[in-house]
Amino acid sequence: MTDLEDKLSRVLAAAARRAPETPAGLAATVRTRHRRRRARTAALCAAAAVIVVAGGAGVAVNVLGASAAPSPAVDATDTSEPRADRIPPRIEKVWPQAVHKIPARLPDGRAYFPQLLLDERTLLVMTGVQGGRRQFLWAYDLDTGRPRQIAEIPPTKGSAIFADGVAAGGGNIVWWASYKEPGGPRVARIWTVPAAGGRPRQVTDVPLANVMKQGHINGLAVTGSDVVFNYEKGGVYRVPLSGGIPKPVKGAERHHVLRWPWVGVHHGKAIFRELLNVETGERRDAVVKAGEEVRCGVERCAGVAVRYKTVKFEPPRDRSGKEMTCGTRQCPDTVRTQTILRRFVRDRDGSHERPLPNGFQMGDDAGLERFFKVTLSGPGNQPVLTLYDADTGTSADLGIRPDANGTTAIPDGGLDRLITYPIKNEMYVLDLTAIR
Amino acid sequence: MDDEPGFDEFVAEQTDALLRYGYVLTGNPHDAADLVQEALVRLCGAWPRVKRKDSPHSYARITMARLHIGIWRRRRREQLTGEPPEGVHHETFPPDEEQGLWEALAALPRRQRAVLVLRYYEQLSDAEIAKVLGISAGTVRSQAFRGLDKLRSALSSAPATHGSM
Repeated sequence: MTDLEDKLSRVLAAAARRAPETPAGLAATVRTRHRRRRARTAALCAAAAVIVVAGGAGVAVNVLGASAAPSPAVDATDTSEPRADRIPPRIEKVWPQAVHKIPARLPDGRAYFPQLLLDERTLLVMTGVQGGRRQFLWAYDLDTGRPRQIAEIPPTKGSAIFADGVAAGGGNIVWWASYKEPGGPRVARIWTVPAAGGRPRQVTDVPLANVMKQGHINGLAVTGSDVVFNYEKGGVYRVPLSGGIPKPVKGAERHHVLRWPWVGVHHGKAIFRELLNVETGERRDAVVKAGEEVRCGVERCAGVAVRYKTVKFEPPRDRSGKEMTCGTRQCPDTVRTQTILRRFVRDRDGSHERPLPNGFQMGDDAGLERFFKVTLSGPGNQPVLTLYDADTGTSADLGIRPDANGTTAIPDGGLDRLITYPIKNEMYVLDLTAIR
Repeated sequence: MDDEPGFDEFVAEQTDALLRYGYVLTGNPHDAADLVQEALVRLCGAWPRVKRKDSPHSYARITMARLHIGIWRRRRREQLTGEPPEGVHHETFPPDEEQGLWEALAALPRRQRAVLVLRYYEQLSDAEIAKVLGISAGTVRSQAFRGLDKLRSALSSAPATHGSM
């Protein structure tokens, strides 16, 4: 464990000790309520809701009783009238041409992880073996539903990272894995295999000796006959697919690969504010005003305008109007509140600004810089994840709901055309380029 | 009572621990309480099956972690006022640096923070974290790396202020 990791463990443990406590006597109250209401599950659940809310109000607000912070407790028992949004139709109805539904397991029962679309009908997926270290790449034909094994990913003994950063281009697939031979420095070994299948071949070993400072590598991309990548701390390199020593890309010494040949740097809370096209030398700086936090793509930036305000601390009052204390803790003099003034997407030059819906997930990659994930509130306050098309204003319900375990799938997607998520026994594969 | 044995006992016994976990996960007591509430409501609905097949304890924790990084949001809070940053707490850790670390954690994206909490508070392995969050082991590692990296640069660039604004 590094010093930082060690500190982190200590800080988290110490924080846990300062967490809000369930007020004394609450457990007894809980049980009584629970027994009185045990007739139906819904009632039982209501009891559970009331309890923790009591904890939240009585204790949590004590700790942080900012007048501007809404109390979580006030109307929590009044669950009869949640404010529900209008839920758009399901994605199969809105953009049927973009939706592929395939079994969530391969024919042999293996679970898989979608990686990228090799073309409009071929999904590259990776499978693992339960409890084992063997991993395989497959091309999954979305039309026939048939998987074709491309290659086994060479196993790495004692490696922390195997098969990360899968990328493809020009008929070749690349990925990297971390290796450390006894006595040697740790390296990121880049591998390649033809998408048509074959035996994986080593491209090069990238030194990771300074991993604590430079990070691992990411941003892998195949470009012509080369592989490009960047260190996580910045710095873009290029190496021929046929092998060789990675060379720094000129002018991109602090940069991250956004979408080749575009590389960029971040400025505070403006991600990819500065862009450089390493092939043409074109520069694109994004217009970002004070108080804005954005994430930019090649064409656009999306984000929020935020106002921070420091206000005098007002001790919270309970329902009878009695001032509540901060318990054994000292009350703060002031608290800082954060108000989101605007949510927007606009061109990098600041033009064509359009509002984004309230539930948009700040900081999330928007597919093709156009499709944003937006959470709406459905009936019964149930969260409904939708996809919002910033070009047309159209929305679609992704269809994700909590399963019997109460867990909800989290869609996997980046700046590219692909979004995937499982629903029951099906994998939803969305190809955003099919949406005109 | 016989049809739902043990749910209230579970609530009575575990709420404190779940609140602690929720607090390190979210960094603020309001969200911790909301998260525990939501998780218990879901646990309640699934109780007979969870009791029979799984551990309610891990069910509640997995639900909380996924809810937190997933699509679940307490919309009213995020719309009206964001989460007050941690600096306002005035509950200081003894060394400046540790206070700074707690404040830096508040600036991490939810998923990165969740990965770090599961690793360094819950002491789970990366494979276990991948299962809990429903993401790949590679994502766990890269999120953990990025999270640690951000903490490191936050610590080196901005010494703790003890939140006395």
